[in-house]
Amino acid sequence: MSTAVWAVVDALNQLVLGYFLALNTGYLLSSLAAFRALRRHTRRLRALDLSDLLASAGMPPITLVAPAYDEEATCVDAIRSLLMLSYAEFEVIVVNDGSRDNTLGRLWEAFDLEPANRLASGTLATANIVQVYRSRAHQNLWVIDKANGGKADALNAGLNYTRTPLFCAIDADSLLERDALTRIVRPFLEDRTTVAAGGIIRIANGCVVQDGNVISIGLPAELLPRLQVLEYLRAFLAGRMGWEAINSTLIISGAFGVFRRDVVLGAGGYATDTVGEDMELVVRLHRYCRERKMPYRIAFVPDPVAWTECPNRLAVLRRQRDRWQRGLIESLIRHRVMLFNPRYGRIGLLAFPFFFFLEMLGPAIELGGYLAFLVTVVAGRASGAYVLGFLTLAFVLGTVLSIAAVALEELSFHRYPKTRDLATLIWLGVVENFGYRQLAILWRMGGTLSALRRKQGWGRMERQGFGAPARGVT
Amino acid sequence: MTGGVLDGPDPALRFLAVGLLLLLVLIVALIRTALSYRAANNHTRAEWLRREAAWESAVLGVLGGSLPDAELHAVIGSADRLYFIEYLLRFARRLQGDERGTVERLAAPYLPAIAARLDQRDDEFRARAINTLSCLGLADYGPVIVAALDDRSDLVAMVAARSLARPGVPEYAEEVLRRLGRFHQWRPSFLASMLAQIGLDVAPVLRRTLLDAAVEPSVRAIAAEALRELHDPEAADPASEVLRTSDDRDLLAASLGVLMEVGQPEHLDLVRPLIGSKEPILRARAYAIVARLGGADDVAVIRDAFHDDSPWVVIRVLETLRAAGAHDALAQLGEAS
Repeated sequence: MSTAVWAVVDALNQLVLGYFLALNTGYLLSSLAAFRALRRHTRRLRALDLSDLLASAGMPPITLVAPAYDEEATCVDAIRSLLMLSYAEFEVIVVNDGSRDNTLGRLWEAFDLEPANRLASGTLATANIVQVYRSRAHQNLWVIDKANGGKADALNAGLNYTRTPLFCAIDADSLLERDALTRIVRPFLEDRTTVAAGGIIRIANGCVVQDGNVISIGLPAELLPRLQVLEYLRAFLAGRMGWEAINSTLIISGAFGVFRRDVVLGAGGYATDTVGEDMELVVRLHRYCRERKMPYRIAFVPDPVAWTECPNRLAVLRRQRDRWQRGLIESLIRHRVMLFNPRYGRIGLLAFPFFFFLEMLGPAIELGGYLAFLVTVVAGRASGAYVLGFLTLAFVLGTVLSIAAVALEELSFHRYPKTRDLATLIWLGVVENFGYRQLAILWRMGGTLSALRRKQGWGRMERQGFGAPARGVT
Repeated sequence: MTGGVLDGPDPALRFLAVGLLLLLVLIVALIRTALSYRAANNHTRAEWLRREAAWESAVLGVLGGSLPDAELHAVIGSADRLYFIEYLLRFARRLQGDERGTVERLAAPYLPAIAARLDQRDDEFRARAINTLSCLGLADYGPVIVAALDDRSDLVAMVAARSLARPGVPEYAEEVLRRLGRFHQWRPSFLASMLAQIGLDVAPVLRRTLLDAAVEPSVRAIAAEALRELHDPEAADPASEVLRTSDDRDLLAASLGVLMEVGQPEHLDLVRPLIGSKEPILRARAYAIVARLGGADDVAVIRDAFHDDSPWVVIRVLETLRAAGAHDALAQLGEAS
């Protein structure tokens, strides 16, 4: 091969080395910051006495907006769990986004719906509203039946009918823990400038669910969901908590986040032309507030929990990751003006560049790197010891980050009561390096390509329904 | 091998090896940390069960009058004192009246150790200590808790404020109100509810605060909101006085809120001009008051509300009419609109 080709290969190798060091340093620092923040958070919770807070009036009323699309398997359980939430004043608005299955029929039967009038207070453009229903059995439950317009459109429709100062966006297939609203609303009480707060998402596969409540927590029996349990712990406890520690939360999961209605409406609601409407909204809120010089805070709170079913088939998981990557890319490209822009403070100088270069471009760099690495090795241009050392380093670093997340879980919430589960999680930290992480990179690369082709849509997610036999405690 | 970037020289390999070794040590340390947290959590849980089993019958004995305090104190080992306080704290929250008094008496000998924690640097420890002292020894430690309102930490100050704003204990209300400006970051409705939970005994202090032009408008607005929550009938006059003298939006809105609850037709003359306000919240509340208190002459005014630019005005008026059971008026307005 010519010198020029080798120069390119070497440059790629150097790029990958740099990427590898930056990414893992970022993750390690984030885990470290999360460790400190979680310790402080748990102590603060004890000092504030949450049970006392629960009993106090003055909690702002909240509307839960749950968009549903072909959710007949899980929607009734999920809505039931929402209605049982322990919170002073809340409404639930389920938005049936033109489901092709019997979602509306299941809701009708389960909650005794009747057509009702409700004046919209927002003016966001949405697909046609067919009918508004109210439950005769639960006066705080409303169902909006609308033509299909996508998840963001459904959320906007719910937002138009919201009358409370705060709204909580959730997935119709998520189960909120009873005190989740009280916990997630705390930043809004403590700091009136808070415009958004996100909670933690945990995997319900393997847990026992009864009447919409997770009553026993355990790891799933199958490997794929198990690996995702570890992944979620790493993403939320080490990742998002780390960013929260430096007040730079850039992502609030669409499965569970609370927002100030007026600010979201002011910022234009959810963007309907992206599959990553949750991340896009949070990035836009940062931008909106910064550009208007509004004092604001966007928080991640690690103790309010939403349980969700994760994919247990590779094909479904691939589609999910493809969609997440597309959402990430669309959000970051749309708001690229924030990149290294001091006008946006630490978001523009720190969080945005991290997500832009390391999370968004990561799969392309990593796959290119694997290729260059392979060429280098095959051509005999790298010493065997070095290759082995580098691969071991990558493997060991990955393991460190995963086990750090498990340690953070034990430090803070220790939700998995069986010691066997703890040992399994530690073991998974080793196992995931052999295939799963590489697969995830491939799927994210697929998402990058999809984003380039501007693919749209919710992406099909197969649901088994909470409490299905396959999901008992292992 | 020909000098590519991956063709590591020995120092680089040595560096890699050292890095790997350190990471391996880190893995072992993290696993150890996770396992020791688990062991500690399990141990704590087991110890709590043991202690609770040992203390429960004795505490119930004292509460029932069949066991003297001294016998219970004799059971508490010196290493268990802080745990015992924690246990009593849980117990106390479920009790009222004489039984609560008994628990406070049982806790008294151990509270100086808790008060000593107020010297700690850690904000959360101090906040926790204030919480404990207020729950189990407010009578003895009231001044200490009042002093904590001026603690350098906002968390400690807020825990102290919440501890002092206790139902049926109005004597600390002024101290809390005086420092309310300190909590400007907190949500005003939360602060108002905190004050309102003291009960109607606090109303005179709140009315004075509402009328005091020397107090920050935001604090006066919180006082008004608390009066609204208390449905204090005597708050209507101070609230209407605010309408006459203030132009602060939040204070005006809070005062209108008071009149929405306890206003009388004689206050309408002060309210009607606010129907023309450019602030939707003031218009909505003013219309709602007119809808609730107004007479036949006001039907045309209320009809205007249905053409207001803000949907909130319409929603508020509809809600008010519906709550008042004015279905005929609603039907008439519906036809006219």
